[in-house]
Amino acid sequence: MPHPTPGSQVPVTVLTGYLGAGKTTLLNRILSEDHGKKYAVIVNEFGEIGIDNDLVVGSDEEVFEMNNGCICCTVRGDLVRIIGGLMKRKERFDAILVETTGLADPAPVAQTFFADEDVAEKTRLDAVVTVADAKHLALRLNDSREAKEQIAFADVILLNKTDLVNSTELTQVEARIRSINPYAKVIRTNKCAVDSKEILDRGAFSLDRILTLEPDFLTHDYTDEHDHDQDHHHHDHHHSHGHDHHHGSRHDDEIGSLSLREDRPLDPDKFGEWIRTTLADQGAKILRSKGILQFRGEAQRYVLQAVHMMMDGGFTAAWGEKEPRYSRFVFIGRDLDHDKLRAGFASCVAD
Amino acid sequence: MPDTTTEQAPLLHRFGKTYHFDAFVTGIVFLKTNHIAYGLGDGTIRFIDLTTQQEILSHQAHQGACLSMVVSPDRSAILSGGDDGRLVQSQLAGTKALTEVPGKWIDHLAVTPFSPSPGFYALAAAKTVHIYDNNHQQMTSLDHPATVGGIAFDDKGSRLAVAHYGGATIWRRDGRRWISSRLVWSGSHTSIMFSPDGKYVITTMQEAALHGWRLFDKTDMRMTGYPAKVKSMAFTAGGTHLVTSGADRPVCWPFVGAKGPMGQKPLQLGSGLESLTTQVAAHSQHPVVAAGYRNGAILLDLVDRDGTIAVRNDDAGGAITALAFSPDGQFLAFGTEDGAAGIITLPN
Repeated sequence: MPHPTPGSQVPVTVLTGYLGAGKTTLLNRILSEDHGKKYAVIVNEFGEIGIDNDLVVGSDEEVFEMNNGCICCTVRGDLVRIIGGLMKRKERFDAILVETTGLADPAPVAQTFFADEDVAEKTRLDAVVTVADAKHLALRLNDSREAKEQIAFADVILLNKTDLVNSTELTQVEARIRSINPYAKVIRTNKCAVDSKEILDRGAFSLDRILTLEPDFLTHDYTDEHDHDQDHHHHDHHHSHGHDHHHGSRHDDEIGSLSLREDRPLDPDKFGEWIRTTLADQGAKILRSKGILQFRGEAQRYVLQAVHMMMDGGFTAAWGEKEPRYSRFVFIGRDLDHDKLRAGFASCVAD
Repeated sequence: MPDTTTEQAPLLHRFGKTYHFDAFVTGIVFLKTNHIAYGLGDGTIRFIDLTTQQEILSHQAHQGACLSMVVSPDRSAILSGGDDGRLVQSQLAGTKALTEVPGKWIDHLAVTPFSPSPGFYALAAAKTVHIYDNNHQQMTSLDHPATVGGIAFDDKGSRLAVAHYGGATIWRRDGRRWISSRLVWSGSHTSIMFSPDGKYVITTMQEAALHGWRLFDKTDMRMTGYPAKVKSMAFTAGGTHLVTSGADRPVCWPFVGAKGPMGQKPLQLGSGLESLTTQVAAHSQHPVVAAGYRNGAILLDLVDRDGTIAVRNDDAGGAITALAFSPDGQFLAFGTEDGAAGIITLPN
């Protein structure tokens, strides 16, 4: 992936979420704040609520398979075209906000920012923000593959309409979110009332900003007594397979996460080989992965992040002298083979 | 043309004039009135008198960016499409909105030759191509399975080629009807052109590749090996080669013989630069190709033998986004993403 000079690229925030969750409300909140900023908004369906911005571009979501033999290598053709067009305009945008349809798979949107050289040169994906309806999310997660992927992909989750549920229900739905994606920042809101600073300029895909990979509930100071066991396969949810195009077990549609840690230094060659093979073989099931790695003899951290099979990595900040050094790698994906991934990661330890 | 003159100053310094438009240059058109028109990302069309080389006029044709630009079939006016959904005709005397497709971008325009008929033109907005006659009356609308990536007429105006996701559609004109034929190739096709003899159609793709079809039997031609997306292609004088951008030098596919480029290796012209070509243009009479680079450089290369002439230095900056020879081959005009532009009067 190309690394143009930071700052020259326009940040792009992707807003996903099921129909009725409050995406347009959030969009209008961001736009109506007194920020003096100039945004371009790309929407894929015009809903009942108007969008209060000078430049709103409408388009159909067009998911294109790349003709390179990789079936999960898909991009959003409409975004390639629209971002190319926006970059020709004289005015410069502080950010581009992309609102997807309720049924959108976030992967092609995210992959567009890595797979298309022009988009990658002019813009950078800042974060995937998912708006979830606290009252209906549990139901959606049971019957919709897309709803799960939107939670799994998110860097920020707005757990919205909290006024419609009681505290027990809220705790339950948040635990359900955590079982899919413990690393996203979850913000509880009512009517999407949130400061846009919490949403914009997150740098979620920026290697320099991946400093820790702690689950969000450990790094944020709200209490939650529920067990966040990441091995969620014992959960007994009912899964409808209406959207499941894969043949196989009912667990095909089960999304969860795995966190790996190793205190001994890793061998960069072994690790490189392992992660390439793992993403090539299992990249269709692995939605996102991120890691901070301690390589033998290296003073700097190596940071890596991937969307499906598209990987981006590089050395970032040096380890502090007294700082404990470690390697940490997290996967979010469908039906992850925990034992195999654990064993593979462990085999990367330097001799 | 002189032979290699690498020791001399670039042609732009010796035979050129530069302009600063302060907006992304999206298109260049030569008018029969001896004017050149630049289409810009601020929605204006700038006119330069080729005799005096002075900028004489600016028309605000579009609200946002001017996305597409062609010369009318009789070369008397400019047709431009914008992200305001408008198709605008511009002449020295002023502009006139011809049509509007509300909420859509007019990304692509194509015109037929003026002769033998008065000619007509087409615009693409989303998945539909609308065709208009010389009096701006709509003749027909043609729908496609995906958003149109590019359109082109053949040299007779009897066929229209449309690039889209999954391949291309060739529309053949039969009186007032247009009959379609589908060309299938996986992936997204982002621009299209006919070979001058009308036997082949070639597309650029979302991948760093071209695809082509021999039309009579729909034989596929894969043209790959590029380090970057191909954004520009042109046929050289006489239709002997297809020159393309997307590499560190112009890549030239031979189109001579019954099989065209099939089984042949492309020529890589000149010595190249440590940058990638973004725009190419072919001289109408001589086997000469102009290549504009991402770093702002422009080189002239000979197709049939070695020889490279610097037109613009690479320290000038700003990717070349528009590049065109005048139809008579006397001028080469360029524009960049930073709004720099220039016209070179070519030495004989």
